Amino acid sequence: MGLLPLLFAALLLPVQGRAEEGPAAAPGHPPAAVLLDRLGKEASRFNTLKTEFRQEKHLAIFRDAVVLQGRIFLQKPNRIAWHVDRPVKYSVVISDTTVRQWDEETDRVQQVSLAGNPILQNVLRQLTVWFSGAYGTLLEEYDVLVIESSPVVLRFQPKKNNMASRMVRHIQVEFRDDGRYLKKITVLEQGGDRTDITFTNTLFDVPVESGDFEVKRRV
Amino acid sequence: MFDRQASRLYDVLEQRQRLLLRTLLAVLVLCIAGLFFFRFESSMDDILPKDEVISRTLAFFRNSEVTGKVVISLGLTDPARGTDELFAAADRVAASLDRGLFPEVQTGLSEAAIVEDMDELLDRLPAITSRDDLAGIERRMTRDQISQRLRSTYLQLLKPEGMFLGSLARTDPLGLKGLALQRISALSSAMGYQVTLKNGRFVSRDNRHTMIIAKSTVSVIDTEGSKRMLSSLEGILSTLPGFVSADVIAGHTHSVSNERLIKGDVAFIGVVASIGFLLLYLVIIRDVRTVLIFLVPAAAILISINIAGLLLGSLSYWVLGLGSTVAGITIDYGTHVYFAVSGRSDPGRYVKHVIRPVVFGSITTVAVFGAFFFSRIKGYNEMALFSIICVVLSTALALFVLPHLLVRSGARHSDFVDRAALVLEHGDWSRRSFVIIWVIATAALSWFAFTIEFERDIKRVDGTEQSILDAEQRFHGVWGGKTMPAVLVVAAPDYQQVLELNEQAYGAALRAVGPEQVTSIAPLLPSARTRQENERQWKRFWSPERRLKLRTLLAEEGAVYGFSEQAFEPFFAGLDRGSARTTDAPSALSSRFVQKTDNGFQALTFFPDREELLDAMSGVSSGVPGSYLVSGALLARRIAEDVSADLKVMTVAAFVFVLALTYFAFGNVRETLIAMVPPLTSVIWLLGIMELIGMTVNVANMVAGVLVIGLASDYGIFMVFRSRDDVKAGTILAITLCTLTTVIGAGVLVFAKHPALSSVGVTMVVGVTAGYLASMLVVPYLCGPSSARQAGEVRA
Repeated sequence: MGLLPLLFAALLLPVQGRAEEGPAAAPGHPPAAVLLDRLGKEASRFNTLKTEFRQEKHLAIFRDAVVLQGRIFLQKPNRIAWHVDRPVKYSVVISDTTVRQWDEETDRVQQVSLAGNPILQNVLRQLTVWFSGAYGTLLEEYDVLVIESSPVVLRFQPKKNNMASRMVRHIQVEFRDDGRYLKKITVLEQGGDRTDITFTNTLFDVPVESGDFEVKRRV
Repeated sequence: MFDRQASRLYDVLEQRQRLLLRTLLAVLVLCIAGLFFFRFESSMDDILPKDEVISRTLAFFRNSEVTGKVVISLGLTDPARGTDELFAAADRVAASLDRGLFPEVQTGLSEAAIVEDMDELLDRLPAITSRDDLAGIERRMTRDQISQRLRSTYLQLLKPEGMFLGSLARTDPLGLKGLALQRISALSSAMGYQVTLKNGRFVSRDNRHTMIIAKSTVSVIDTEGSKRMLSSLEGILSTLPGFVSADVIAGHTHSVSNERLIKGDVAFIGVVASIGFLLLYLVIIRDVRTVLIFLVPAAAILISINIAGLLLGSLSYWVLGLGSTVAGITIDYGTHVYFAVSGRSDPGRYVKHVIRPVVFGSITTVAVFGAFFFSRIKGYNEMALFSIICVVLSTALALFVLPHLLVRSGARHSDFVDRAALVLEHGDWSRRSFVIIWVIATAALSWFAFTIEFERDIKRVDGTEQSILDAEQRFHGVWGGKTMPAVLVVAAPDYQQVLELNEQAYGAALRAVGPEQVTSIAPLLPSARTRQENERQWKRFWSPERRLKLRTLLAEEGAVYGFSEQAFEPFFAGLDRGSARTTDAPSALSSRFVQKTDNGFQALTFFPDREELLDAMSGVSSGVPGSYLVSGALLARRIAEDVSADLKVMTVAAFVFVLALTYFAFGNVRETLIAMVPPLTSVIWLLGIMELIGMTVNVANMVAGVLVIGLASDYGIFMVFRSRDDVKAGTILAITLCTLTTVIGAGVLVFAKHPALSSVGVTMVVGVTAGYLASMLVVPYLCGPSSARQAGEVRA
């Protein structure tokens, strides 16, 4: 059967695992499930979102940290635009069944069907979960440890039978003081590579323009 | 001589009729008891020709990974429900399955195992990189190429999809793993299934279905076991929540469905045909003794089942399904005897008059069934044996037992029959106009008869119920895999040997049909010899000079994109790894391509199942020892060829036998040829009408076609005997009644749900009717005026 296209994705991506035990809480903190439920409810209150992000990649392959800057647009239930402005211009817009990508290097818009591209499908599913606030689903894939409860800081550790555990040591998520959205995501890989994504100037329920979901809107 | 001996035998048995009847009764009681000890089968295998290609193909499917497995496709019917609820339902089903019936249940693949497999394959890079691949790597090691590749890596790392690619990029700056990955992804297209994984579960493209694969302990041909298994499964699936639908895909459903359909048809045919016969004999003829005629074939069939069962070990429902048709034939003998002795004070004299035509009619029928032994289809051989026993017994019972029972009961048939007999026997059947119409019709239909085609698709005579076919269609709609590829199978007793042969076959296939058409594990799983050779070449290729050159290029070009000097050290460290992790056992990834069999191992190369490729791959197969092709198209072609050849042989044999016996009966060419008119008419009209109504000759109805030759020849023999005999023993009425009984028996088959039985019914009805019309309307004219002249007393 056609499982093999998944092998590549399976190697590269944090594919979901099955829940084995409930989320843990550090002493003195409410259980992670309670926090995630609360955060999920907060996230469910907005329909559109605009935020700027700064991504720092501390990878062994690079001499220095690589810093990316850009913006994310979200329109529920399932439209996400990820625009990188620096150091290269790149955009990806995700809708129900398709993904449109553009980069300055090729200056070409590529439309990719998610059904035919399991690798991208898995990556974008993860992104969608993180950005849209459907945190409850993460309990199946990760053991969750509450680091701080106010403001909330959670550490997501891939479960043992989750393939992500081969690459990801943990993902630490800091929420804003008001708990409405993410403040910072830190991904620590098994090899020691680290990626920090910090969100700033986050605006909720502001009108989004159709151009925000165009991959070539800036050119 | 024949008549004298037959008369003597009749007299002897007449004197011992009490003993004869008691013995018969005892035998029948024993035979009824015997029914409970025989095994009945519904497998379609027996109606396929005994051919190496067909047997090998069926054996391949029987031994394949797919056969014996039960696949349950579960789908969400409510858009508001999510996959988590679907998985929970799948878990409950998987946990509820009876482990006695399903010892292995799989709801997905272990992602860890997949990654292990993938790691292992990537580690095998030195072993699977050929001389041509190394030349390709050499071409990638220019400054421009390296710069371009590093730029591409840099950009990929900045995209979301490059989030976890940093470590991988360090181990593969030249994209060498892409070589292995391309080959892996090529493997996935082999079966055309589109399955993804989520939470380690099988998930469809639409993300709304999941699948459970259960290995069953029950053989597909074990219908009783299959029924128990499916019943257990249905019980479990009935507990699924309303928002989850389930489709069960398994060979077992076909076996059970076929048996259910055939059993239902047999019961339906038995009841309706019996009612038809009883109405005919009791209401129209109005003589309670006709039940005795009915009992002759019933007793013969009962005894025949036991004898055939003892000789063959088991009996196919096929044989029983055709039993009603056989009953329709053997009832003829009793009918002839009935009309000969009815109302006679000295039945012996009149029975002796019909012994010769009845026996010769019976012998020709036996001869026609004898032609079935020339067939390579086991089911036909079995049916021939069963039918011959049945015909012989019916003849014996009709001639030597029935007359005494008829005389004892003493009743007479209705006035209606008397009048009908008078009309039929004294009617002027010898008309030129009939013959002219017959000539025109036969000439016209012979035009169509020669263009009739053989049914190539075995599924067209498969009685699988629509609900099962619908489920399979839904399954393929969700999961793909509708078009099955053909397979080149290479077999050898030793694992390494099979890998070597597989390489050989793959190389030949590439030359024969090109790389786009073949899918093989050979490039990823080379033989030990090739592996060692590849590793030697790999080591030679990665000389210190080449490493230094690459290191320098990477450092210089990588600096442009901010890559560190040590960025690609993991790549250089990996160049020297050997194939320590390589094992001889097929991994989870390759198990679909290399399988353990009872006799060793077999390796499979897949290719599209198209005629032109089959021809080319057939050449490949003939050049590789121990290899053969498995293909649905080839199977259909071979079945059509074999069935067609069988039909020709059987038809010729049947005609030769009938011709010889008819000549033996009459002793002259003229009467022999006249007696052959009905069977020839039957065959020509039958094939012509079948072509006109869009029917094809298939493995099931060709049996009926040959049977028709025997029946129609009986009519010819009886009518020619009638024309030369001065005693009219109710021949025309008997033939008419015989035709009616056969048409009733076979006519019921027309309404059978099983397509094979239904096509048999149509064949019998058309063929027998054509033979009857020829015997009634053509034979008397060809026999000359004597027929009319000698029309004396029909009865007192």
